[in-house]
Amino acid sequence: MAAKAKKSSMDNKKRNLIAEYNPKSVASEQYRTIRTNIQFSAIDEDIRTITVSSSSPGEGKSTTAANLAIVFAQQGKRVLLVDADMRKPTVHFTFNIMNTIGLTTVLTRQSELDKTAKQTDIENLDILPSGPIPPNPSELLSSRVMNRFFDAAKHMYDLIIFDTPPVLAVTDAQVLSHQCDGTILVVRAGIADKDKVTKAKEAMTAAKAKILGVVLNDKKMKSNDEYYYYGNS
Amino acid sequence: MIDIHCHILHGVDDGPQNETDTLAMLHKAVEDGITDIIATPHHRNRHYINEKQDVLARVDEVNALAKENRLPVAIHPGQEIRIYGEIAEDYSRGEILTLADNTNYVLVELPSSQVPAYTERVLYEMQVAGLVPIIAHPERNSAVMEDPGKLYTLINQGALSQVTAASVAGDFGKKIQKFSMELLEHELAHFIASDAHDTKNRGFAVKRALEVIEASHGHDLGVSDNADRLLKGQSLHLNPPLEIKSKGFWSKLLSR
Repeated sequence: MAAKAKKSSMDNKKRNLIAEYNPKSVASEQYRTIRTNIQFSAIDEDIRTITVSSSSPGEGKSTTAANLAIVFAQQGKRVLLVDADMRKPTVHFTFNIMNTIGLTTVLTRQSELDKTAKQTDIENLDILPSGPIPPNPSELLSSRVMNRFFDAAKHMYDLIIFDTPPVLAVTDAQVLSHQCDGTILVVRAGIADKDKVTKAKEAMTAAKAKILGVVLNDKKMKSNDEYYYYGNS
Repeated sequence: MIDIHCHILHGVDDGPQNETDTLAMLHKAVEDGITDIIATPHHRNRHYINEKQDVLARVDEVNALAKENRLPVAIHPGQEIRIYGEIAEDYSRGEILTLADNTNYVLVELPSSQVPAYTERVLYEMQVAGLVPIIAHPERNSAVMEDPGKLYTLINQGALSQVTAASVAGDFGKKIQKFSMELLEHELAHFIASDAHDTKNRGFAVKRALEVIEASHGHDLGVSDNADRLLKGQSLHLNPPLEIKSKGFWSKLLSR
């Protein structure tokens, strides 16, 4: 009977990584649309580093970040998905890997990026789980340490996507988005508070983040306009 | 079923005092459906110190005892380590036993009435050293009972936890039973184990605990599989922990 529990959790994982397990779905199509929009949003320079965040928890950051990483990898880009949500790390659950080494151990120089990032079953996609969480994780994201990380990661990958904590909870997302080429804000339809989204955008702008756009998540689909199941900016 | 927390070694802590006691416990374990026992004597709590080498030697003795008596149960070495500041350092010096000696899992005991402020730091350092800390019986820690968020924080940061089978079976009362189930359901506890010390007051209750879980869920919430994977040194199939919502004023009033 134990298999039952595992089966359902496995199904959840497949649902989360829909761009890999069901590439013909409407949602996967929408992730590819977001990918193209991101690529066209930059005129003179390639977007190499992207922060994915939201105003509040539970809006779909991690799912969006993972699926974006997948559709970019499907395009042949070498992609690294980084779990920088040190408040609630989930990437290792989604991809079912150990979290004993990861971003934190790379930042504290206890492990090297090339030996820490893990290959996935998905071609071209590597993931870097959060690693063990220290009591004051924000300190790790200081620019000096992060600069070194960016240098190493850009050397190995075409695109680095950061899954971050909510903007209004801690400053981690602002700190990271300041250092990234672009930022995507995930907004969940019917859940997100308008004032909070505005505040989150203001906080990002104050951090000199370049907001590429907003992903409207979980918008209810009318039976006759299936193509608008996932909105995007 | 694999029992990952058990005081089966004689004469080393507050478990069995002689070989006869240990043998009686081995019989009970087999009756309870247990095939493997990780012996976890107390280490560095105020009363007992059980260094790695001593544990290994005593485990050999008890395995011989089981074999002599034709009991189909294997004993593996381990420790139940009372949390202290230098666990990671002592591990690097080879003084700490992981569960079954060849895995990365380490059983850690918190004081019974608090979660010390340094806990997060110690568990972090253990993980940086490559270990996976398993918090023993959080359902019996009064600070965790009062504020389950304390445990959520530790699990969210990568620790695992083990509830005692007798707690799940209801032997410590309805309140602890209900709380143990909540921890399992919220992915805040990942194992059940006997924490048996004898055959009378603190015995095995693994079979009964599994029955309780299966009665309400139709399956065992993955606890048997997790224990299997632990013994093989594999990683577990985990889901993200969920916070236990603290009850509001009205529901507290109504549930009294």
